[in-house]
Amino acid sequence: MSVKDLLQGKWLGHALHPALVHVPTGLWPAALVFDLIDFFGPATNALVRASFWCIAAGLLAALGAIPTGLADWWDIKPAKPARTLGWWHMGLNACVFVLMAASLCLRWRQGMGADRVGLTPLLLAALANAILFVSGYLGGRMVYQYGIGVARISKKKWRAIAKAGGAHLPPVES
Amino acid sequence: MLKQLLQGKLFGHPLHPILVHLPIGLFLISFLFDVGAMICSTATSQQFVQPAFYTMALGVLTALLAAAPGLIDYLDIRRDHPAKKIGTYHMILNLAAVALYVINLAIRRPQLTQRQDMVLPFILSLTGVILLSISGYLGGVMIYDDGIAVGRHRRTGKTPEQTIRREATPGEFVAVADEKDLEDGQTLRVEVSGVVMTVAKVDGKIYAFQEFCTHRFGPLSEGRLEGTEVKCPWHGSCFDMRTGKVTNGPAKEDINAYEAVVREGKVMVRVKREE
Repeated sequence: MSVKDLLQGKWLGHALHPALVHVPTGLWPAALVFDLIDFFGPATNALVRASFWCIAAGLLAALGAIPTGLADWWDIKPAKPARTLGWWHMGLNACVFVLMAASLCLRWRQGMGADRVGLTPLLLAALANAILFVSGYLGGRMVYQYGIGVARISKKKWRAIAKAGGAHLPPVES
Repeated sequence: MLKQLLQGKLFGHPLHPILVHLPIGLFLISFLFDVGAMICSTATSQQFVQPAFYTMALGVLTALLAAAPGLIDYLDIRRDHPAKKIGTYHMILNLAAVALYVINLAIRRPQLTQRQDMVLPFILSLTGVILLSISGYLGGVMIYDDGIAVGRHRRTGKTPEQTIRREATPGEFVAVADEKDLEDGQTLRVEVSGVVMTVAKVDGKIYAFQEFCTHRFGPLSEGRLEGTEVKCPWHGSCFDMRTGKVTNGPAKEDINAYEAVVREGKVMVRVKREE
């Protein structure tokens, strides 16, 4: 099994990149929710901590999402619209990553004992989330509009079903 | 209209897979906070107790939000599709996980400032994360293996609820449906003596052709119908419904086209004798 196969999740029987991205895509909006409650509502140290760790865990998982995402993108033929979409997805995600890392850095310097999150780290998180929303949408479009990664692992299974259904089939690829 | 909204047809993207990022991420980190509380000293561990609770609570809230579009997506899957069973397990596991988290929250609520019972909530969290991992895996299998919801936003007409099965000797026409029951833009998935085909009605004309795309064998009965062409929902290959010829890739091979006629109000199809 090649490195590409490994990163694409063939061994797991499931595309890896879309599974991994649940962590940052789930935790960063959650961090913003905690920030907003903390900033405008009751200032609570627990919310500051929850937000900090959500961002940190998201960054860690994002590191894993980068090589797996690249491996999926690698397979898209250069002339396809999904290839361009992939560029945007990649570039926007890089921005989100940097903004979130900066936000985490400021939080770290502010200290974990604070009851109220700082305005700058909150704004950075808000901006990052706005970009993440666009980028995540583009990632989803790659799957639901262009079928990237769809029936990649299950190709043989569907070929067998089609064959049993009397379909005209292409010659088997080597 | 509500169904289309919940399916995310307006955004060209299903809603359920977007929303589930939140509970999956949150339940996972809630468990990590629990692990932190378990391995740290008593003084430090107290700092993880409340974050674990808040992330879990937001997880339950967002899980409930994701349930509605998830159910709509599930109801839309053809009854004899292999993914239907996976969807049923996916739903049951998710409901079980959320129920466990609600119990978990109820146990944690009274000990938010001073935690006494560490073990039971921890075990509940661990169980929740395991159930969620299995369920999330199944959800991904539905999309990446079985192509559920892929390209669905391009489709406008009614999709098949179930495969219609008929027996016929090759060369013989067989009735598959009443013509008046077939709406314009609607497709049927028909199996005639083992041969699986799509029967489509566009602009009053009836077409019958091979159900499986020749690229990665996507379901043409769920494809977009445009004039005399059908577009595969998965990767957009196009075929002429009259001849089966490829009009746009990635598919390179033509599909089989079958004869379809309307006789005495019945839609009839025929699979030719092997030559």
